[in-house]
Amino acid sequence: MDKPVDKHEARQDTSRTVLIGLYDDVHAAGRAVDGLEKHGIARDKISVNSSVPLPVGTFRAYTRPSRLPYFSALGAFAGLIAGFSLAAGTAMLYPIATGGKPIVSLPTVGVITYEFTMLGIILFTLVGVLYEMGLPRVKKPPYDPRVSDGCVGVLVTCETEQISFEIEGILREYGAATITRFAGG
Amino acid sequence: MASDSPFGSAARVNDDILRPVLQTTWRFYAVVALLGSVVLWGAFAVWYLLSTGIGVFGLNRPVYWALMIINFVFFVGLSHSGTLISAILRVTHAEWRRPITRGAEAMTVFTIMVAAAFPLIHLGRPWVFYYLIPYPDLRGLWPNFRSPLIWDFIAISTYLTGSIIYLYLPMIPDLAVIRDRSHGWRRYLYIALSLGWTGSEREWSRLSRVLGIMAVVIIPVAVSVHSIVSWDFAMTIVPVWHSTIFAPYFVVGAIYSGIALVITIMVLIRWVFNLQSYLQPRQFDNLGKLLFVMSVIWFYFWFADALTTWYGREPSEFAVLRYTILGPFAPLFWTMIVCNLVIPFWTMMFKQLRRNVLVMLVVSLLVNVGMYSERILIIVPALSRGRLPSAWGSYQPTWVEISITAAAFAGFSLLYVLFTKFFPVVSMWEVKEGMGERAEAGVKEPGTPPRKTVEGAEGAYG
Repeated sequence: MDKPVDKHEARQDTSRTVLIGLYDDVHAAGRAVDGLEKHGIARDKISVNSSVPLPVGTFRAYTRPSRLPYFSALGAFAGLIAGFSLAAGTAMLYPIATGGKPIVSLPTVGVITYEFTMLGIILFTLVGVLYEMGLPRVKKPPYDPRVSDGCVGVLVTCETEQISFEIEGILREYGAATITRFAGG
Repeated sequence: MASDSPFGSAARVNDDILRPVLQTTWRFYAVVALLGSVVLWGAFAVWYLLSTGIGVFGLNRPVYWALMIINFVFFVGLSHSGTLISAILRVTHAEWRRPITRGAEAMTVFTIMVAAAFPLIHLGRPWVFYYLIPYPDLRGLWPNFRSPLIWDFIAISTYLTGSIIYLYLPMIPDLAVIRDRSHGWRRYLYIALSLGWTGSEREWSRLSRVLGIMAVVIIPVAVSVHSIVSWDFAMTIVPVWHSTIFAPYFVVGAIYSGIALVITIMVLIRWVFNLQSYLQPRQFDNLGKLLFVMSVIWFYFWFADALTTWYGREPSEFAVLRYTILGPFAPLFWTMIVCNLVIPFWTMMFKQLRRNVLVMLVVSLLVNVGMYSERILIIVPALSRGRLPSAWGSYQPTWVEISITAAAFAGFSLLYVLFTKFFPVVSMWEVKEGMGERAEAGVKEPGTPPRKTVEGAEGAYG
């Protein structure tokens, strides 16, 4: 991912700075997040990166409500309409009379409608989750590859350079083993 | 926090599981060459079929569906359990699922890919496969929009799409791990595939949510697929096929053969990639219990169907049953009973045998021998003994059909081997999550390695 930049480079950048404090213990990372909040850093400026889902209760939960069920419901509706239209619509457009059977047979139309409904749910849910995760990312995000090997990264977005040095101190106070700076976060 | 783990640190889990991805030995090339040569032979057989005509198959009147359709039903059945098992175990939060979900999901994708090829090959003229698709029809003849073959096309497309997505989504965090460890062109590949994953709270939260939704959605899709395959048969008025029990009977058989293949693959992965620490006897014990239960349920469904036919004595149906059990198919019939009922029933009831990996390998292979026999017995005897005795016949496969069948098994194996070369066959993050949960709960197991710190790039969930 991004190459870390040194302090000199960060000073030259007039935009925001992102600090990543790496912790080898998820509870230490949790204490650092609490500490940052006590020092008045808003929770939406703090993010935590990890290679596994964070244990319940370690951090104040990520609470932003998900719209995924709406995507799924929309997909179900779109799939239902598409499936019914395809099966019943084509049969009506090109009627083949077979042994007195109805042109639009609801059991057979039902099977295709069901499959399309499920396909709609699957595809719309996929689109929804990528949208909600913010993936795929075009711009390289602030990231430390050591997170992959089990470290926990606490990311703080700093609006000014002065604040970034204060936050660096807080992260170290709570046991960050290494701190990396990313310009333009 | 999770240093008290039987597996060691997170980095060690990465090392163990990514070894086959990041290191290539001569064995890999040897296996690929061997399987590839069988696939090439099968490709030659397909070319011979297309250039010569469908007469090179052993098809005849009345046996107009044979080995290609048998393979189709068998491979669709195998595909059934991978995603289904993974989804059911995720929904029920079964802790022991963690090392097996990825391998099972991959199995589903590749078996259904192989299965989908067979109806096209069976046509003999695959360039007219679009007859299966409900396209606007100007001639007033084809296709029949009410045909179960159209249901098949749509159901399999839905299941394949869903299974690929269900395999890919939980693999994104692991792809990010490979991205951070790989170099050269592979790094660019994994940068693209991991979509910029960083492991943020938002990403984990949404991944957990979507896996919950997908698991619930994919279960009824899986059930519908094999039900619809069964309706290809049951919607006809061919004796024995025209049965209301066919859909659940096919679904049960599919789950049964799929579980057996999951076991086979897990044993081979365990041995080949030295993953004994992850695929432990506990996993095989639980899969063995499932196999035991499914063997009994499968027999119950088979018996319910056969008993009704036997007691009813409807002449055309009874002729098929008699031909299957007492006629030239009797050896195959008894192979099915022994492999599908006797052996799994009398081995899988014992814990010591379920925890013996070699026994599990042998039993799982035998179950699929039995299930393949069952697929043959469903299709060929019913067509051989139709309602008119004057139209009775039989079937012998030709070298072309046998070659294509061998290529299908080799092709599935080749796809799986290539998958293990490019992707972690065990879900690393799920394993690490399980380790962390056990450590949080204070579960300590022997052989715990010492914990390292951030400087060593290890720790946290180790």
